[in-house]
Amino acid sequence: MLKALAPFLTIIYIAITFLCGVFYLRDFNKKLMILLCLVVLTFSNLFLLWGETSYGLFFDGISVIALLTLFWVLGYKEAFKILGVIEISYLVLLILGKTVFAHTPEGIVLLVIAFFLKLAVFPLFLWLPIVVKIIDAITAGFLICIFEIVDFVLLWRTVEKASWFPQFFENLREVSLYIGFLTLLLGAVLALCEKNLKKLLAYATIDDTGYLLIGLSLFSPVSLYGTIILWINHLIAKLGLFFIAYRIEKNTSVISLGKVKGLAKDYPGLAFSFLVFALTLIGIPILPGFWGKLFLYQEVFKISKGLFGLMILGGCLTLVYFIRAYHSLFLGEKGPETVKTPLPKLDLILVMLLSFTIVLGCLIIAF
Amino acid sequence: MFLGFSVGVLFLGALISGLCYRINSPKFHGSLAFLTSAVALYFLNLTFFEFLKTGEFGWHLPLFRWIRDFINLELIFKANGLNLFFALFGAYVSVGINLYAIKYMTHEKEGFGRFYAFIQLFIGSYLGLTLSENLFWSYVFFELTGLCSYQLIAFWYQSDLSSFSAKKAFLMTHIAGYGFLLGALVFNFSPDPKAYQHLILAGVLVAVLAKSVQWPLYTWIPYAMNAPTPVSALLHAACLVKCGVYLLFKFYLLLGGFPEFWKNLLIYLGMFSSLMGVLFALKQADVKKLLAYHTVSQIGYMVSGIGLGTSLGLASSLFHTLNHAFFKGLLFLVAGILQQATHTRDLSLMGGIASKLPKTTVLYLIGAASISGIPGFNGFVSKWMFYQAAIEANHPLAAALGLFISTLTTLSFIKVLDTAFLGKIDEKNKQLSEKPFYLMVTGGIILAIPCVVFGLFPQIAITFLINPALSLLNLQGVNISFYQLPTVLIGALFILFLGLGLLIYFTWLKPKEIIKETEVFKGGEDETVFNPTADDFVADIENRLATFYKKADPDQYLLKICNFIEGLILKVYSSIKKLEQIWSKPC
Repeated sequence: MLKALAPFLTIIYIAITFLCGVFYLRDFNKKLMILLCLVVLTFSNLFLLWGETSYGLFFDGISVIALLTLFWVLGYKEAFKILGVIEISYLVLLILGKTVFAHTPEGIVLLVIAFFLKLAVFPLFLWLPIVVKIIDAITAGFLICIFEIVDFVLLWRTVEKASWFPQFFENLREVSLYIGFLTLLLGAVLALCEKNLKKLLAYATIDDTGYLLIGLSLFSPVSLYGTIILWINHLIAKLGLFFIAYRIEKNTSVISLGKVKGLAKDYPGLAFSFLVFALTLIGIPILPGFWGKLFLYQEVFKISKGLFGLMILGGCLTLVYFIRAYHSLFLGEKGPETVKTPLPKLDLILVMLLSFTIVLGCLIIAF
Repeated sequence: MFLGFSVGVLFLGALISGLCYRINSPKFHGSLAFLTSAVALYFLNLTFFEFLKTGEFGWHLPLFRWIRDFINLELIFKANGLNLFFALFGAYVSVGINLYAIKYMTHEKEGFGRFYAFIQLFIGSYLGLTLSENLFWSYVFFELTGLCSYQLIAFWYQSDLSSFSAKKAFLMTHIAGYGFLLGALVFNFSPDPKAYQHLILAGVLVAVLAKSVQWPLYTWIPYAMNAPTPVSALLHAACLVKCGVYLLFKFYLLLGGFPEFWKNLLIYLGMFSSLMGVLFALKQADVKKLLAYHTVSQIGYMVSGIGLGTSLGLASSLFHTLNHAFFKGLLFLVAGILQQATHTRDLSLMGGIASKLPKTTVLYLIGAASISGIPGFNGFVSKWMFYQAAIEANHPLAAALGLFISTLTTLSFIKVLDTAFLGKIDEKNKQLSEKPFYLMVTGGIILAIPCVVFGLFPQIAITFLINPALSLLNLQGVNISFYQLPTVLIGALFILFLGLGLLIYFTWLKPKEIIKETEVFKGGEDETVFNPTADDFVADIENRLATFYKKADPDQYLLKICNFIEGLILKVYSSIKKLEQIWSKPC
C-alpha cells in the first residue's frame, strides 16, 4: 500500500515545497541560500520516501542539516535551537535503532520513539507549538507538512517491520493505539484553550496526528484506507489554514482570536477557504475528512465502544475549537481598524488547495 | 430513476447558484431555486404514482466500489410509504416557500447566490435523508441539513447575534448528531442489532432531541430565528426539525418497534417538551420566537404519538408532522410579511393591521386555527387522533396534557391576533398596502390550501399518505371519522353552510345594511384605555410564572455543565503551559 502511494506522496511533497518556496522567494532575503536548502531538503526527503536503502541514514542526516540551515537562513534563531535539540535527539535515536539495535524489537522501539518525536506525538509534543509560535505561518505549515509526510512514511515502514515479531507487534500496536488516543485528546483540549491562531493550528496538528496513529495502530485495510484519506486531507487542509494564518498575520500584525474579527466582510474568499478546510478537518460530511474518520470510527467501534466514545469526544472538541476560531476571526461585527493594509485577494494557491480538497472528496466517493 | 433526479436537480441547482454567486440578482437565484424545487416535486409525484401502481421500488448508485468488500456505502434511494410521505410534503412546502422567497429576498443587498445555494442544498439533503436506505448516507444527508442550517442562520454574518446563533445551532445539532452515527454503526456492525437496541435508541434519541428541538436540547431554535424568514419557515418549521421525527420512524421500522421503556419515555418526554414549549411561547412578544417555541411544542405531539406505539398513535404523529409543515410554514410566511410591512418583529409595535393586510390576516387565521386545533382545520384532526390514541393506549394523562397544551396554544395565538391584527392601527402603519406582498401571499396560499383541505377531508391524506406508511411499519391502516359521519360529508356540509352564510351576507345583509360596522367593544371598557399590547400579556404571564421561567430554562444548566468541563480543560491547559515554559526557557 505504501509503495503504491509513493508517487502520489512525491507529487504532494513537491507541490508543498513549490507553494511554500514561492512565498520564500517573494517575501524573504537570501533567496539563493533558501533555494539551495529547499532543493537539498526535497532531494533527501524524496529519497527517503521512495524506499529504504542502506543510504537512508545518510539522507536523514542531510535532511536534518538542510532544515536547520533553512531555519538559520530565515533568521529564526530561537526556533533553530529548539529544532536543533529535536533533530539531534532524532538522529541519535535513529542511529542507535538502525545500527546498534538493528533488526531487534528494541531497535524498532527506538525508531518509533524517534518518529513520534518528529510527529509531535504524546508525550513528545511540546516542542511543536513553541516552534510554530515563533516562526512565520508559511514555515510552520511547511515544517509540519514535510514532517507529516516523511516521518509518517518512515513510521509506517517501521510498524510493518515490527510484524516480524508477532507478539511484539501486537504490544506495539496496543501501546500506539492508546498513545494515539492521548495525543488526539490532548491536542484537541489544548487547541480548545488556545487563542493564538498559529499555536491553535499546531495543537490541531497534534490532534490530527492522533487520528493517524490510531489508524496505523489498528492496521486493518479499512483503518489504513481511512488513515491515508485523513493523512492527505490533513496535509492539504492544514497547509491551507497556515496560508490563511500567514495572510492574516502579515496584514493585521495580530494573530490572536478575539483581537481580529469580522474579516469575512472584506475577505469572503479567505473566510470560505478557512471554513472548508476547518470543516474537512472536523469531519463534516461530505468532505474527505469525514470519510477518513468514518472508516476509523468503524474500526475503533469494532474493538471497543469506550474508545469509540473517546474518539467522538475528540471529534466534538475539534468541532468546537475550529468553529470558535472561524467565528472569532471572520464573523460578527468588524472591529475598528483591525486590518491595517488590504489583504491580497484569495490567491491561486488557496484555490488550488480548495479544489484539491473537493476533488479528493469526489474521487473517494466516485471510485 | 426519478428518485435520483428529484435529489440531483436540487444539488445541481445549488451548484449553479454557488458558482454564479457573482450574479447579484434575487430574481435569478430565486427563480432557479423555485424551478428546481418544482421539478423535484414533479419527479417525486411521478415516483409516488408509480409507487401507488407497483408498490415499493428503489434506485441505487454504485459508489465507493473500492471499499465495498469492507463497508457498504452505496447510495440507495427507496420509494416506500414512509420515505415518500416525508419527501413529498417537504418538496411541496419548499415550492411554496421558494416562491415566497423570490419577493422576500429583494429586500437584501447581497449574498443571493450563497443563500439560494444553501436553500437548494438543504432541500436536496432533506430529500436525500428521507429517501436514503443506507444508514450511512442518511447520516451524511442528516448532517448536510445541519450544515445548511448553520450557513443560512449565519446569512447576516456581520451581526454578532447571527454569528452566535449560527454557532449555537451548529454545535448543538452536530454534537448530538454523533448519536445517530453511533446508532448507525451499532445497527450495521452488530450481529444482532436487537440485542443492542437500547444503545441504538439512546444514541438516536440524543440526535432527535437536538434536531427536532425537544427538551432539553431545544435552546438553539429561538436563536435560529435571527435568519431570513424563508429559512425559519422551511428549515426551522417545516423540514429540518422533522429530520429527527423521521429518524424515530426509521428506527421504529428497522427495529420492528420500540421496547416499553422507550415508548413511555417518548410519550412523556414529548408531552413535557410540548408543555415547556407552549409556556415559553406564551411570554414571547417577538413573533418569530413565539412561533419557534410553538415548534418545540407541536413536535412534542409527534414524538409522543410515536411513543404510543399503536396504529392510531403513529398515524396521529405522521398526520401532525404533515399538518405542522403546512400550518407552521404558513405562520412563518405571515410573520415574514408582518416583519417586512412593519419593520419589526415585536408584536407590541404592531396593531390593527388586519384592515391594511386583509389577505395576510386570513392566512394568519387559517394557520392559527390549524395549530390551535380548531375543528375544520387540519390540526384538529391530528390532535383528535392523538387524544383518541392516547386514551386507547391507556395514557389518559398524555391526552389530558395534549388538550391542555392545545388550549394554551390557542391562547397564545389569540394574543397575536389581538395585538398585531386587531385593535387600533399604529400611526406609522396607516399607509400600509398589501400590494407589494402579493407574491409572498401566493406562497402562503400554497401552504394554506392543505390546511383547509386536510381539515375537511382528512381521509385523502390518511388513505394516500399515512396508511401506506403504516403498512410499511406493519401496522393496520386507520380510518378517521368524526361522530360516525364520513369526513367527506362533514367537509361537504361545511362548505355548503359556509357558502350559504356568505351568500346571505353578500346578497341580503350587506346591501340592506342590516349589519352595521361599529367600534370594537371590549367588555364596556373605553377602547383607548383597553388596548393591550403583547407586552401587557407578557408582563402578566411573566409575573404569574416568574419562578417557573427562572428555573425552567435548560440553557442555564447546559451552561453550568459546559463551564465545569471548561474548568477541567483549563486545568490541563495551564499545566501544559507551565511545562511549555520550562521547555522553552533553556533555549
